Amino acid sequence: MNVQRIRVFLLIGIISVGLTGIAQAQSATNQVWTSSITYYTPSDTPGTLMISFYPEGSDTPITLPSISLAPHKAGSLFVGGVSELGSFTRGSAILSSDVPVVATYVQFAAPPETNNYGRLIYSGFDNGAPTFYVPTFLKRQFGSTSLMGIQNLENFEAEIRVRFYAVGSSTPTDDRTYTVPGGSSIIIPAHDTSKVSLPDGFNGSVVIQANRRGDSSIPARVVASAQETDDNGRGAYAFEGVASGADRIYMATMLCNAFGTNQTSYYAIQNISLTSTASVRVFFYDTNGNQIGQTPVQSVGPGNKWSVNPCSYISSGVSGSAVISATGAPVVAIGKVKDNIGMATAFVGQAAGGTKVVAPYIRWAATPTSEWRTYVAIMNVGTGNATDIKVYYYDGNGTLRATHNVATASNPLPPFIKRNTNPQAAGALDAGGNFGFSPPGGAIEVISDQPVVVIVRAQRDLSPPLGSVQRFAEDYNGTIVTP
Amino acid sequence: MGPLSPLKLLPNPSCRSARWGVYLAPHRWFGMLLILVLIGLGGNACRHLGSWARSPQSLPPTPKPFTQFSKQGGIRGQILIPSGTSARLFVYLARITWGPEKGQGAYLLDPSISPWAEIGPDGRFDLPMVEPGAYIIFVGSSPEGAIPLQVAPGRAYIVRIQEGEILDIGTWPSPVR
Repeated sequence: MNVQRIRVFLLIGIISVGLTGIAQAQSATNQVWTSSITYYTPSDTPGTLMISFYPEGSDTPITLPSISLAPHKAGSLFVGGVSELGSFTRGSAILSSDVPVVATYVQFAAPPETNNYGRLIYSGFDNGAPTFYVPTFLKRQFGSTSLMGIQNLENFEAEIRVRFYAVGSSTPTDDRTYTVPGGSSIIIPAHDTSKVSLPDGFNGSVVIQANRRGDSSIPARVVASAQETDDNGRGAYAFEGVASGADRIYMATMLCNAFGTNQTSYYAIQNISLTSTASVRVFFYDTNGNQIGQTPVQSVGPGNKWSVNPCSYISSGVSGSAVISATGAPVVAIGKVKDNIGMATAFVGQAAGGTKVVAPYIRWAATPTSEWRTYVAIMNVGTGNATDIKVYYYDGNGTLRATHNVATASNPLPPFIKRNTNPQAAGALDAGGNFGFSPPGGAIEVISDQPVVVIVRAQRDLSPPLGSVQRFAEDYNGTIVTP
Repeated sequence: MGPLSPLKLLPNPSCRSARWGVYLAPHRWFGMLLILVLIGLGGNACRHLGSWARSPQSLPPTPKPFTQFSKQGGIRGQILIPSGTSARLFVYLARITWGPEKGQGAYLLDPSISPWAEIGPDGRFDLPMVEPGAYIIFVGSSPEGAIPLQVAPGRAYIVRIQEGEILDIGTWPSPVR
């Protein structure tokens, strides 16, 4: 059987660690979180999905019942650790299948706070690497604190060296090695002094390197993800770590005070070289096919990061895309979006696009306050106009519900420009005006004649608002699959 | 947190009707025969284990085995839905698989393999055909937004469903606000 393994790293269960001495009426950092996985198979043939759960610190997996996959099935599953007495426990999971599968991880506040906080979303990994990078890591900085998870994908014990670099410094603030059993994981909250020693106000990036325990000549594959949570608010978002850098990074979302709520994107750009300085520049594009601004060339030191706010270089009220260009050393990038009604999201800049991109978590609620809605941004990262981009909407049964022609010969999408789709615009809604809820699950396949990158925004409006928060939102990246 | 009313195996007479529901649906002729058997057994056939008098923090009682007419068990109960809730709500059962290391388990909820039922307007739900085992009960308008019933913060309410028995978990406040 040709088993294709996807890796979904889960920050499951109780990740709340109290911030001693700080009184908070609401704190996403102090919140207890739980999680689910949404998955989708782009396969035209049926298959089987198998799930192994690794309790944190354990190399012994718990094998869960397998799930039958109908062709193009989209679904959601909960997987988590639990003790005999009912206590939720943390861990990681590996999903395996005999057909291609992509998955997205969704984390939300545990009850009774589930609807009082946003959701964190990131994509599962289909493979790991001995080196991983996390472009931003905070401790009580900008009102947020980070938490990072690293999973050892090998079947042997690994030594995982983690270096935390503050902005402007080429010497790590903390540099330590963790030992992690095969298949298992370690979770590092920035404020957990038993795991890492960082000063309050830390703002930096992370470099992860792993090898077999006791043998530095044998690399160990790992994956990493991170989340940032508001210390005194409800904002929370997650993103994947990145295994390698590039001299060009594509950002399908670029915003400056957009959509009437001052939605603005911020880019954290990390030089992943530990020896060379990168010269970095960012180019900004609107949705009409025009380059509308650029940054000056910025030197970014080894292991260091540079933060970019497009509003410093373009006009307000713009929604578009961006390209990050680097010379001298490769870079990786994270995009964050915030606004003035409480939303906070994150996504990963992508070094390459694909002609087939899948997003497994697509929803549309008839009313924006009752459930979540998703909006899709598609950016052409090819060298020529895209003249044939189709978005196929599949429901939880694997039934094709709609096809949206996003670019055609008469309405092409130029290079570096983005265009949008959603279930409503595509005509995928059911009679009740919903998509993805009954049957549970919904996904898209984006098929293009030029490589594209895809960012999905999931959001839910709040009625009544929770104080100043009127909307929760989060972004995640579409996954490139082999056509 | 915790139930508002006792957990119990189905007391008479609802236990009987629930069992008929289980057995009559697939095979009516067998169901009629079963009714006669149940009448013969009388009320003793459907034991009531009594009220769950312990605090909500304590674990629910473990039902004793019942005469096995089926390999299946069942569960029912009531979730008090907050007024003004417009979305349809569902109950999902996440099966627990226990690992080789003592006390460690993992749960899985996927609607394609997990038992689920829509909660009625009165908050009641009924899942008559459930594989025996340990489960966590989730409530939500969709699987990815479902929330587990808990006996304490961070501690799931685990039910153990056994062959031939229908468990009534009583009335619980909705974890969905």
